[in-house]
Amino acid sequence: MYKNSKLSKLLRFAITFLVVSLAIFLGLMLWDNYMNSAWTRDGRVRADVVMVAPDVGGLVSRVAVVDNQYVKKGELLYQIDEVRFHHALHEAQAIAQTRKAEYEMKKRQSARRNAADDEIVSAENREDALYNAQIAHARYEEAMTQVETEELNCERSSVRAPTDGWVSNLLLRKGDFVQAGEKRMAIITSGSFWVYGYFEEHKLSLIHIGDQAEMKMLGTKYTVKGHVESIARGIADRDNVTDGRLLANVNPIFTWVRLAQRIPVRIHIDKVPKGMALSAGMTCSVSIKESPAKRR
Amino acid sequence: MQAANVILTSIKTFPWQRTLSEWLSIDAPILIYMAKATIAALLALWIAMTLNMPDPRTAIFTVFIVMQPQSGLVFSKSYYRVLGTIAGVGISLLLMGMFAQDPMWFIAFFALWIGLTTAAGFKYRNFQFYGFVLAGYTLCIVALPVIETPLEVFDIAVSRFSEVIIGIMCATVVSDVLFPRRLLDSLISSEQERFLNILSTLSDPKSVFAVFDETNPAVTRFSSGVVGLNAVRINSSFESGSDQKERQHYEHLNHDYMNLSTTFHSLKSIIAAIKDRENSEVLCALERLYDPIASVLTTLPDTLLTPKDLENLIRELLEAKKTIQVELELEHKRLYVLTHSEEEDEYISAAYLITRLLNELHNHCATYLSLLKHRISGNASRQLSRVVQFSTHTDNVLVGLAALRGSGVLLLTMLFWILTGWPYATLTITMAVVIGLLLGTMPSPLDGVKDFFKGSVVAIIIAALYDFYLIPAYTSDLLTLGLLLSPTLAFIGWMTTKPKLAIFSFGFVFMFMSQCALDPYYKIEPTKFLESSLAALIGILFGGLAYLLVNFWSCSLTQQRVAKILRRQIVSLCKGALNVERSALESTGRDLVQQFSTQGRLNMRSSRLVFEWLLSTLEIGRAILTIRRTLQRIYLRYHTKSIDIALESIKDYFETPSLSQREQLLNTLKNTLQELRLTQMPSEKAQFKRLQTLIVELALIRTVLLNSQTFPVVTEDSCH
Amino acid sequence: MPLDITLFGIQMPTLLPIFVISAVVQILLDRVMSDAGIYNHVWHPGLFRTAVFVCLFTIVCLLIYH
Repeated sequence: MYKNSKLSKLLRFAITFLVVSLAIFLGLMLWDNYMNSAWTRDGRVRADVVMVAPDVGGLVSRVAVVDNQYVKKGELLYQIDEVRFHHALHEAQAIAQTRKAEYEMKKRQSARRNAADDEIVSAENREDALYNAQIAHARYEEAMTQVETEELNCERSSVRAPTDGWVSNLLLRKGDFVQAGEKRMAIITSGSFWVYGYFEEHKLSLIHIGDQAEMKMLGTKYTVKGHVESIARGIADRDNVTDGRLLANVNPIFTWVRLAQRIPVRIHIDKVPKGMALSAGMTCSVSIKESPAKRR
Repeated sequence: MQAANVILTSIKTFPWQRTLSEWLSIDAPILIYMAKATIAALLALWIAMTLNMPDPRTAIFTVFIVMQPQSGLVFSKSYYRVLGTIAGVGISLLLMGMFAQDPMWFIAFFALWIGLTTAAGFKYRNFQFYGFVLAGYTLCIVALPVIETPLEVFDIAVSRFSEVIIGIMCATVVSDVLFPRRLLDSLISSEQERFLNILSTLSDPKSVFAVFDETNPAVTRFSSGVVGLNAVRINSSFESGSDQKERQHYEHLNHDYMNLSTTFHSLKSIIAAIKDRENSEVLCALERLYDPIASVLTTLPDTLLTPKDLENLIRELLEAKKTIQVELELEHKRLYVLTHSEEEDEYISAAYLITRLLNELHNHCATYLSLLKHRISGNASRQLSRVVQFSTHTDNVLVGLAALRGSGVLLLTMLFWILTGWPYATLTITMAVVIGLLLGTMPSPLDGVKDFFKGSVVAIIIAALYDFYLIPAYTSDLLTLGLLLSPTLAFIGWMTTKPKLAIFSFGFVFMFMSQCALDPYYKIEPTKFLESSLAALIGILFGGLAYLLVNFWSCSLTQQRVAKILRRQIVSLCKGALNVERSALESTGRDLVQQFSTQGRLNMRSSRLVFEWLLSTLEIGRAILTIRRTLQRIYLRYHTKSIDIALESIKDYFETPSLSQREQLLNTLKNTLQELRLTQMPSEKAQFKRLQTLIVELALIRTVLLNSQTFPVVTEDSCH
Repeated sequence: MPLDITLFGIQMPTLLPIFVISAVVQILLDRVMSDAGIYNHVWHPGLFRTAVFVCLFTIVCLLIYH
């Protein structure tokens, strides 16, 4: 019926052409939006974590906190058995008293010998007595420092929170033996949360320090607001690991399609919605909006 | 005729024009197809690599599996490939989740699944079969490599599924957008050819009244034509612009053709029997009866028919119908004096078949005209409300055998794996399972295995060339890799257009894709390459071994099976439900014979016999149905006991056939016929007609039984 | 609309479910259009069909990535 008329032929072409060009236009738009907008699905919430280690070793006699408890700075976390430190303190104090007595004795002896004349006490004896008194004084000072150290040990046997924050993954139990300097408790510093967004390298040019960022947390309705704080200035080169002699060991195989590397962008969190509890390690997708100040 | 016309017109023009037109019609489509396949494959490779898929080869492999010259076939194959992959991936997740720690149960369920998919693949036609093949071997591909590390199964399953989707998207979009070739167009042209064929055959009384030609290829094409076109029709429904109505028309045309050809062949076999007896009087009478049909058809032009021509033809056929009716009554009266009832029976049957042939021809023409009108102007002249179903029948013994072979080959290769502890033996298992699933429905699976093996060996050589020389030496990025790959891809595309190379090219594609370095990055170790190639070749050998061992399907066994199934069909028609459509009867029988003639290794002579049996079954079955339906509506006083006895004895005969039973049945039928003829004809027109029908159908059954010397009593061994 | 969607505990880009849904819509639309004979008025049905699908998919996606 239509097949032979010129008009309908034109119409047929026109309809197809119209729809196809619309499809191409929309496709390009989507491509542009998807590939060239600064967003990534690969974002992580991070936080400063203080790894608390005791200054002194010993048996844990009491754990004063429970898991995930919020602690203020200086709050007791756990107590290391102090008896040993008290004993040490007493011992040091006793030594200090002995030294003090010794010093008094030597001081008096020196004063006495100093007061006597040359016929009774030789110059050498007098000098010896003076030095003995000085040595006794120094030994007394040493013992006093020992006392202070033992006092400090006593004090440090109760481990306290270095910052405000949350006790995390508490594995320490009463009766554990802790070594001095051994990391046994992690505290996540409150207010230290930030987000690392891992952006493909070609998107970095779209990101500037100070840009507004929106973080959509995985599996929730919450959106966290923030701004770009800094951009990492280096990542490891996967194709170049140094060998034992510090020479480059370049990977001989190479993917056919070069995938963009991802560079961490640090985002400062400005506003957390009410009811949202941030945890370090959460996944989020990050999209960067240009900051209003820069938009002209 | 059409071709002759084209040649006539082209001879008049310059020779180079002829060459050009020939090139355009034969070579250009192949070149275009090769280009399409290559583009789709490279597109799939690029997308899979850009998305960092672990196994881009699966995507490119999928493209070659689903790629077909006609986009309808691509859609259909893709659809089943997706379904098969989903099923395979699902079952592998399930099996790994449940039995990863329990080898016995794992292997047992694995074998069960492979057997199940082999059986189902055997039971279903077309690309549905392919879906089941995939469901089976996806399990091998997903589950076997991670059997040591079950946790990775989810990753592999997801990535495999995504790769398949990528490949399918590329193949379908490219084949539908770049120079699409529609299946529907080939459907209409083959329908046209068939229609013209019918008209020219029927227009010549000689072809109707000549004795059967043993070597006539038309006879062997009789079944496959119907089944094949039905497959094309189903697949075309995935294409754009195939509307419901058009598809319905094709369904009806196929159905009409089926009826027409059955009638034609039945008529011919009766006439052949008459000729054998050299009864020229009956023959002359029949020829006279046929004359009006032939005269109508000979006046037709030889070229393409226009709707106007067809309308004329239909009108003339209607007139011929009336003439034949008059003639028939005259002849009837004249022949009634003949006392010999056998000739009377033959004449009645043949005359009935001629009128039926005319009716069906008229139907076919009307449907064809309606289709033409629908295609041209969108308003069909016929309302096709009746749904004609194409039913299939599969023999459960064949299915069981296939399932046994599938599970068997899996267990065998599993044993090989466990005994040798060879890490690459998983490839052996996969390959053997693929062979077992894929070639099961081939006419000669062993030749198929040989072809597959050859293709694999060639592929290994070419893949080695790529892996160790071309890719390391000349490629630096995806563009050069694609350029370097494209000649081989185009070659594969060319191979898939050659039906002779189908299995060879499948083996080639399978091996090339698994051995060529199509990973996200280049990593090839010679030892790994050699070991995995060896494992795959061993797998093919195992598959071939299974075909060699489970292969007791001889010619005479096939004949027995077919005869038994056909007999059972008649028995069930004698006592079963009455709502069996003639179309269901016909399509089931054809599908069955088609399947057995590809599966059962019949020789020329025996396939001819089987075809004759099918015809007898169809005629007898249809006659029984008509008799039983008529009996329900005829007055009780005509419903004599002897008819019931006749039906009963038909049933008995087909249940336990023997020569004495045959004699007895023929006698019973003779008596019944005589009794019916002697009854007072009712004056009421409808009742008269019904009684007439009874006589005609019973006579037909008797004639068919008399003529068929080999069925259902198999007397002659045609296999040797 | 969010950029990401979580289905059965698996995080995926929203494009993926949109793709599946628009494919289903496309199949239904295709049936309707072919029965209505729209493809007879189109020069290249395959191209047209692909373009319609692209339009369907991208329009919904652009609502997300505005």
